[in-house]
Amino acid sequence: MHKLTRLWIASWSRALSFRGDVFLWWISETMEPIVLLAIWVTVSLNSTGGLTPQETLTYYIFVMITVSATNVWNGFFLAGDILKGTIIQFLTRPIGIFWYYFLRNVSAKAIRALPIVIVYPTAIFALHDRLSPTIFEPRNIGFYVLSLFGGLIIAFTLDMCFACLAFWIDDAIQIREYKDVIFMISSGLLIPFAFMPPLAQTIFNWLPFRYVIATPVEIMLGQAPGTEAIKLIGIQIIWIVIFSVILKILWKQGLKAYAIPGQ
Amino acid sequence: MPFLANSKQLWRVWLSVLRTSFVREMEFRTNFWMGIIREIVWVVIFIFIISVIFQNTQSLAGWNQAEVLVVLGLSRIVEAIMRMTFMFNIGQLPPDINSGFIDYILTKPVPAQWYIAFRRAEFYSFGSLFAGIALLAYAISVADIQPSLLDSLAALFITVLGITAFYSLLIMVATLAFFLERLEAIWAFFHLFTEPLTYPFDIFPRGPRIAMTYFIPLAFVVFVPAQALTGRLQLWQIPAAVGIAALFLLLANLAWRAGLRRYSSASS
Repeated sequence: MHKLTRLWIASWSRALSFRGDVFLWWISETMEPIVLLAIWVTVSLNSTGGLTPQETLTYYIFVMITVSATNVWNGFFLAGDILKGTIIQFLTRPIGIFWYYFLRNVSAKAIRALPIVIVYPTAIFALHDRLSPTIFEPRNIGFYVLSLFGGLIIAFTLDMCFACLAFWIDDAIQIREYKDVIFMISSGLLIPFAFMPPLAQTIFNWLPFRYVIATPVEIMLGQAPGTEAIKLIGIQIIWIVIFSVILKILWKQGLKAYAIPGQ
Repeated sequence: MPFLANSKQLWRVWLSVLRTSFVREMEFRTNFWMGIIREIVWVVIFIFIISVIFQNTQSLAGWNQAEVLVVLGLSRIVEAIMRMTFMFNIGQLPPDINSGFIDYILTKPVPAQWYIAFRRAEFYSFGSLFAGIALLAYAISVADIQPSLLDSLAALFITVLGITAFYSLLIMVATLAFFLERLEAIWAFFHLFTEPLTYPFDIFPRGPRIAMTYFIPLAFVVFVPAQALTGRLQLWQIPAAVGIAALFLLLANLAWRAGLRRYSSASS
């Protein structure tokens, strides 16, 4: 724990020195949901199914929060480190490489949390009469926070799995970008599940991505009543276990097969 | 004007850039084809999103499905052209400033801003370009309003002006790197600016729409040309596009010169 605390402090210091960049990335991440919010609110005004305009507005405000909390980019850097041979520095350290990347991710988010804790509560307070009342229920808030954490771990372990493909494939970064494409369409970010055709919903329900974005947001919208929220978090745990096992196998096999470039 | 006097030379240099960039791409063919396919997949995804939208409504802020596909097709074409030519290159300016590589660029016998913007071409955007052309042709063929030759020429003219304004915007953002220690998040700005281009601006409330038309002139890149192709263009928009493109080009050049004056070489 002492080593992790020191690593956390180092990661936090690094994130703090790049706070301008972190803030700008947060602004750009927020832009996409704002555009999608405008689209789907416009759709919901004329639609008989799907979400109401109130629910759509609530949905995308919490998509913005969820994206900020669960966004993972570290796989790109891990793949690059593997391809360049710079992971060697991590193999000799007393802390696992995945802890290093995870704490980097979380510390950058901690910097982003500073404007978020001002902006989003202000927006929710200003718009409270136009938002779904389910967001003020303690049960939903509690399950939302839990599922948010589950979504982050799913996203992180999956991203690391794709990054580990760099042990065998030079184009691992390109393959990881394909994963991001599937994530965007099947996570509930580009299209809320409530608006999707039934066949698309069925297919995407079998993928892990909807448990990163759509699940926490739907819990907050009150669309997981009773034990449904517990069931969804249980499915998140199953995906976390699956990807953790795959990651462990890929990492172990990858290191066995690894030859550092130039050596 | 030195730029115009050198235009033949610049054209020859750019053709050479295209050749060498293509040769470079072909050295990594798998990467190239994966990029092409990914771009086409994105176009298919956007078409899927629009089909889901119109399964839920008949009209998106007054635009029917074919007209929204016109906007989408045009946005893919324009973004592909911008990514192929200058977007990636301008995004490289901050690390070039930090590393001092710009010293090398400043010694070249071509305008430095031009070289930075057009030094390399990204050919994987061809996927988006061809898919966009096919989609635009299909959307116009099924749309209720068929654009006349004049409408098409107006759309083309405004698109060129819009791309000029967008280029100027990117240059202004990139030159912040001369004043700030670090601007790796420049890609965040690019993402910010390209995100709204894919859909009709009528979906936005009035305030953001005005901001994205006159203060950050995104509307003239895709939306106003799409208005021309769908019979919605108003005559005042043409001189407005000319004025905005000229203004932003002037501001970009002023920002560039101010940045260069502030620049101190990495090696001296």
